[in-house]
Amino acid sequence: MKNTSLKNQVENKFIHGAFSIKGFEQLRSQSMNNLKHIELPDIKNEDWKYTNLQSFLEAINPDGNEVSFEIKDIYQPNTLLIHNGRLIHSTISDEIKKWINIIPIHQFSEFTSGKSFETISEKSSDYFVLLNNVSFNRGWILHIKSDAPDNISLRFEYIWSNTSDIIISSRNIVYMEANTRLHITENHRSEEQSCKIFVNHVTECFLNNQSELIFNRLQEMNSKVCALSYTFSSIATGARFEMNNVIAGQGIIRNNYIMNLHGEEAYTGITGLNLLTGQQHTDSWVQVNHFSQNCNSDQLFKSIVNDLATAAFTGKIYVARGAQKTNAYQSCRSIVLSDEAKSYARPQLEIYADDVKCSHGATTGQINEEAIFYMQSRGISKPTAQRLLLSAFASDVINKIHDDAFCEQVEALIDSKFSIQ
Amino acid sequence: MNDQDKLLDEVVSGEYKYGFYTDIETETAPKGLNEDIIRFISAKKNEPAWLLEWRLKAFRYWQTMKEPSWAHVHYPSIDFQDIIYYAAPKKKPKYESLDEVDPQLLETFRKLGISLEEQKILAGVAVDVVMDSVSVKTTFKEKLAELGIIFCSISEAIQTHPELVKKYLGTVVPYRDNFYAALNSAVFSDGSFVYIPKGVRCPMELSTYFRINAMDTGQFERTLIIADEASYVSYLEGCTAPMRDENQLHAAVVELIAMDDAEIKYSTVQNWYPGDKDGKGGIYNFVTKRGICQGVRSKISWTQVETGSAITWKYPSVVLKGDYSIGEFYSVAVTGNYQQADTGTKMIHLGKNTRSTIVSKGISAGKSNNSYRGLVKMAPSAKNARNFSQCDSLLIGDQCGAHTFPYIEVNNPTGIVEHEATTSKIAEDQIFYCNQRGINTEKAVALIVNGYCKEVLNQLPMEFAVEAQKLLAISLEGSVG
Amino acid sequence: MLSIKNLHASIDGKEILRGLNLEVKPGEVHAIMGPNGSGKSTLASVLAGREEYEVTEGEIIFNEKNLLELAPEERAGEGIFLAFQYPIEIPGVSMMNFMKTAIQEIREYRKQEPLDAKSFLALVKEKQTLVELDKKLANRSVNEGFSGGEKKRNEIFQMAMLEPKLAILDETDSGLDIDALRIVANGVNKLRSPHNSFLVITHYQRLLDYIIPDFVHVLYKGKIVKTGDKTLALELEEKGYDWIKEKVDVLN
Repeated sequence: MKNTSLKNQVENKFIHGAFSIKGFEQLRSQSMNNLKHIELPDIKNEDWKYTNLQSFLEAINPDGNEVSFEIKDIYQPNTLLIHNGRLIHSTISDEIKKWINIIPIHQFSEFTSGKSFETISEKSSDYFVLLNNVSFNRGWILHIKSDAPDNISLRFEYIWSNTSDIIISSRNIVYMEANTRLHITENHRSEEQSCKIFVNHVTECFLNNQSELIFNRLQEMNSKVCALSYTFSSIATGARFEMNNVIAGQGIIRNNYIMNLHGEEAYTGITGLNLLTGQQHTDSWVQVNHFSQNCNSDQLFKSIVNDLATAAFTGKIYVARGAQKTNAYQSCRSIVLSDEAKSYARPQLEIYADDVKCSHGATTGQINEEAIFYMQSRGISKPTAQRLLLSAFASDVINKIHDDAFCEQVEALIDSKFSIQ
Repeated sequence: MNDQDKLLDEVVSGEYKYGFYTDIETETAPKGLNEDIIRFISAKKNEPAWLLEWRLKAFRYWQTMKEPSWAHVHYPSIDFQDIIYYAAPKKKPKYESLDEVDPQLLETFRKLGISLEEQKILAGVAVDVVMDSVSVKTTFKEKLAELGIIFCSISEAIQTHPELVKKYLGTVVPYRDNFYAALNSAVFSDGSFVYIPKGVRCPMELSTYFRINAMDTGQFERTLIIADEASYVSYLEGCTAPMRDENQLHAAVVELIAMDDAEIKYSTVQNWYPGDKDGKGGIYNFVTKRGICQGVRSKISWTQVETGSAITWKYPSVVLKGDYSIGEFYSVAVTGNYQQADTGTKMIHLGKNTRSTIVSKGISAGKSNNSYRGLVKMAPSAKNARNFSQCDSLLIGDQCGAHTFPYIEVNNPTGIVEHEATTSKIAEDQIFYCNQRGINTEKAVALIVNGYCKEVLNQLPMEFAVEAQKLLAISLEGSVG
Repeated sequence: MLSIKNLHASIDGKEILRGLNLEVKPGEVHAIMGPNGSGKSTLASVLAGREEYEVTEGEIIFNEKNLLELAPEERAGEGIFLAFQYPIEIPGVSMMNFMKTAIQEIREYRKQEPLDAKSFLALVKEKQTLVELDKKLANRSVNEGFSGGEKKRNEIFQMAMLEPKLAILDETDSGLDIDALRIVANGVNKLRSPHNSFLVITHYQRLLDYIIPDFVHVLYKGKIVKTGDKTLALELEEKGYDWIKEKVDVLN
């Protein structure tokens, strides 16, 4: 009973700020209807076993006020500033604007220009996706056109801040026409604040034939933020989608990745690096769906867990009937550094085709003491030895991120977060 | 090699070989479940008051529970009021020799190829036969009694060793554990009881052949095995069931307790009626099996070969409580036609320096679904605990499914968990290689699959390994076009 | 014994053998040589009955039986043995178990009594010595963890065990050092008799120093374009294949 009333409360809090957006009427009414039949997930729900959002949702008390963000810094070219999910500033060059169109989500009908457009999220039966479907009121659409040059790189600076509790429901769409290439880096951070922020952020990526999207994301929020993100992708023939996600900072983060390989010779690779200290809690939930034959996928997640932190991982490789010649690989490795740290892993395979190569591996362990001793005997101090080993542990994730500035940032985070003693 | 050949020779027909029905008069309770039925069962078995009370508590708790739905299996919901909860052969025999046994029963075993006589003489196996809920024959009892070993039906143990039963029953699998364990606690009919005293090494494999044999009778076996300090026992469980159109529910509970330095080896070959080639009929096998390594340096090892049942829902587990204790799980699960299996284990590490090993081989054919589900948990107290898991799936044909759902939960900076899983199919080149050496495709598949499962089959006692290989071959007949 | 007439075979719609003719009589050793892609391994696969290859024309008669109508295991029963170029690994299946199964199956096909365990073991022992095969290999899984040389010797061991009427050696010499080559060749020579025949497919003349062929055939573009005695192999070693290719190409 308590749950039912919390469910109503949560839904009211979300829907409070929603407004109608042309083109999404059906999605909203349908999702509204579906929501009625789905319970607010708790830890008895297999998919939410390791993350309990209920207490945060119960405690958050938004008053409907939202402060605007004052732009102080000067941003590099081709950067977009996003505050609480809204696009507020852009330094995109006119040259690039020829090929890339970025508009606010409420101008959706402008983007579709009357043609029918199917979202990926409308097929989801996840409670928070449905909640997002009915309530998102901010976000952007990025459309890259087929004749665009193949070296476009955009940086999104995300800032999450307010002076009172707030629930944010945002929706982004990345639409890549055939044969395009794009490199996106997202940098999420929050301001020092005392209010609670709950983010429900859905990104849908459409990769048409032979397109390629590289998506790097760094999340470094504080303990007042509970961020829930969903990244959906629809990957067509010959297209490639690479997602690299690094989590540092504090707070609760639950990232869901749903990758749909729809055309032959498509590829997706997802890496995650979780650098966890304090009471941080992260939960990565991945589902790679092989719907077509001859596709490849990789998942590589690494976590370093210290203090009271928790790292959870659920990753599924799903191979549909007929998706022969699938090559799918998944690996999840964790290092637990303290007595109270927790690591949970659920690597899963669900396979309905026989001519496939699928495997997963998961390990949980600690820093090799023998290796530390070996380094010490060569004159390296223990903290340095430990840092070197942690860097080495993280390196195969970092090596996959072909963005030097981003990598340096991550290296520095490892040094600062785990500089022990 | 000899056994392999024998096995191959014996592979004769694709239809369920053991599907025949033995017409023995049975005494049954009316369909349905309520407190009166539980009182009826308890009274029939002449049970002490504490046990009836325990059953009733379990029943009341069960009524508040929901049927679990998280497993990767699908079936129409079970009407628990449409099941007969008690059936016992009318003539409750106590025989001194096989001559006194109902000849029809002996005929059943003859058809199964399991001659009690032969088993007794050749393998030195004491057999406690459970035919529909009540034990009808126990052999080698005297010999075991000399060593202080108690091996009897649990009903008998309740009468003769109530203090032991009361002390341990429900301590490993409490009735609150899960839906089916609660149901079993309320209505369990019979099962085996084993107690191995301190320092005794049980000189023979103890075995029980379960057999479901009366129309619409749910089976609720309850087995309790206690290995006292520094003792050893190897227990074998094997199942076959007659062909049947109605779905049958089986919800057994097995509890194992190993004290300091004790070792229990529990092996199962399960071959219940899996339903016909259209997925009609077959047994629902929802079993709770759990052992506790109570003492230091104790060891519990589960080995299972699962080829039968329409639906299998089974996770033989070990709670590693004693320091330096060891838990093992070796499993082969074969599914064909429309069978569904969701099986695996739980290794719960509580003690220091505990070790566990999981080796699971899933083989799916036809339109079946075969899932491994396993938990490895390292509690904060489990310093230097280690686990290694290897879960492999083999797919035969492109209409089946093979799934792996491991859960790894580490709350300890000294624990090491390694998990690996692979999926593969039988390579056409392997079959061709065998063909070229004169071996036909069907035999080649049996050979390759047996090779694939070798790690697990090697864990079985010899005579069981033969039966297991035979079952693997039978189960996979006709699965490769 | 073996009579191949106008054999055409293709894989994935691509024709590899284009009208091949070959006659092998009991006791003869025929060497098949030829440049890469000429169809040597295809011939071996078609004879053994590999499914991927489609025979579109022609016939293969083996001891008065139409080979093309028989399943691979029936061909083995008839006495055809293929020593694979790349023997596959079968994990968990011990060599002994594998061989035993094969022998019993073949005996059953030939309506012979099964071999008892004692005679089987004696046979294993005898044949192991023949190919200087380490006894330990018999207890290992089929080809698993075998070195390249061990795999090839293991093929010859199996050949010795099964005593075929026609043995096809598909590039058995590739990847062998000189000692292993000698062992393999010795094995073959000891098995030669007036009753059985060999088809030795090879790239190099080297093997034919040890296994002296009665005939040497040159396969090119799916046909036998030249036949000679052992001196032809020497000639090829010296001059390569170009002169034959040129001749054939001119004729076409």
